[in-house]
Amino acid sequence: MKRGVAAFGFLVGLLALRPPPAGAHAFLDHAEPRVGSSVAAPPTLTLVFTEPVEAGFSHLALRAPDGKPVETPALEQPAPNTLRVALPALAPGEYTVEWGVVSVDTHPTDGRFNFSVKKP
Amino acid sequence: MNAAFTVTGWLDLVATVLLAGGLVFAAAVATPAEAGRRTMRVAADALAPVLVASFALVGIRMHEVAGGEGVGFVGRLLAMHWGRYWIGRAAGLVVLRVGLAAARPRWTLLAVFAVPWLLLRSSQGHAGAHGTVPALVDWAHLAGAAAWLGGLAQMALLADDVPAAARLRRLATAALALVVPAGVYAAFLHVPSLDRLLHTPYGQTLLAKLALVAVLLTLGAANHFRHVPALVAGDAVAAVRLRRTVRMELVLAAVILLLSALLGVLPMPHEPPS
Repeated sequence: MKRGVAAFGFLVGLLALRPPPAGAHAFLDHAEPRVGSSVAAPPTLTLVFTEPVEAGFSHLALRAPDGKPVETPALEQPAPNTLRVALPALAPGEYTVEWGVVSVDTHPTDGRFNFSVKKP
Repeated sequence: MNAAFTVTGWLDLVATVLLAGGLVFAAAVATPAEAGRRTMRVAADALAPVLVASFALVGIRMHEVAGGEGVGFVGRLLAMHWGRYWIGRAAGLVVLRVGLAAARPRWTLLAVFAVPWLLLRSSQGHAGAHGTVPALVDWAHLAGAAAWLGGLAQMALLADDVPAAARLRRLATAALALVVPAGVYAAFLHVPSLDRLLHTPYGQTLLAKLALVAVLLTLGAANHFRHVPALVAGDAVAAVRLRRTVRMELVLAAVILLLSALLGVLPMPHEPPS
């Protein structure tokens, strides 16, 4: 009986430690500029994922309103779940961000979103 | 590709459980039979090409995602989170294999080395990607399962040894005290709702695994409450029943480990954040 109570207590204690559900695949949590937002020309593009990613096997690409790729410097990783890239001065219009990342347990995910740069 | 990952993951789990669980059995229960020692050596020898295969599969996946080739590409693979733990697992395997090759293996030392070595596997996969606590809980799950199932495999290869059966009974009970709560934790971690449990491939595979685990627990309970006490009391028929039940448990365990490997490959039952 005592063992059963102890086991139940242990189980309850363990469940109390339970973190929020996690995905094992890195999904986009949020971005700066925000998904679908309209902003003044941003100096950087930052993507925050739901879990740590491997920067060495990940990429971000930015497409200009005419569909041509925007040249950007190398990807930075300021935090394990964050990728950032510096941006050149962007002209007004709608841009498309294409991303592909690999979570630290090697599962790949990708996606895309748009944001707009407003006229000054 | 997923089938290759599943089969590799299954072979990895089976070999890891036989190796680490066999060492725990040798340290805590009884000196293994020669066939039991051979099983551990074969498991270690099999795990080496399995680790190489898993490295190759991850390499192919990373190449498809990001390109790259040659020595530099291999270096990038080894430098990533998964690759660093892969190096640790491979180095640990070499140590265990050398230890097993000794004429008189130092079982306690090898078991003390093998149990923390399992943490590298837990840190390498899904659980490790979620953080330290999930990795530690996964480790408890894996260590408990290894002690239980690896011990059963050794018991099946040992001639009717009554004291060993009684000690394995206690070890299996302690192992279950780790396996069950850690498994419940992992289920809550990975499956956010009843709907996702019932209507996703991951949830359905988990349900199938749980059903088989329930059967395995029932067989284990028969050993615990009937066959082993009867064996200790001198009932000769109990030895036959115990051997038969242990063999059934091992077959069932192999299927459960296959489902566990599949769970490591299937997408988690979550929607991407909006």
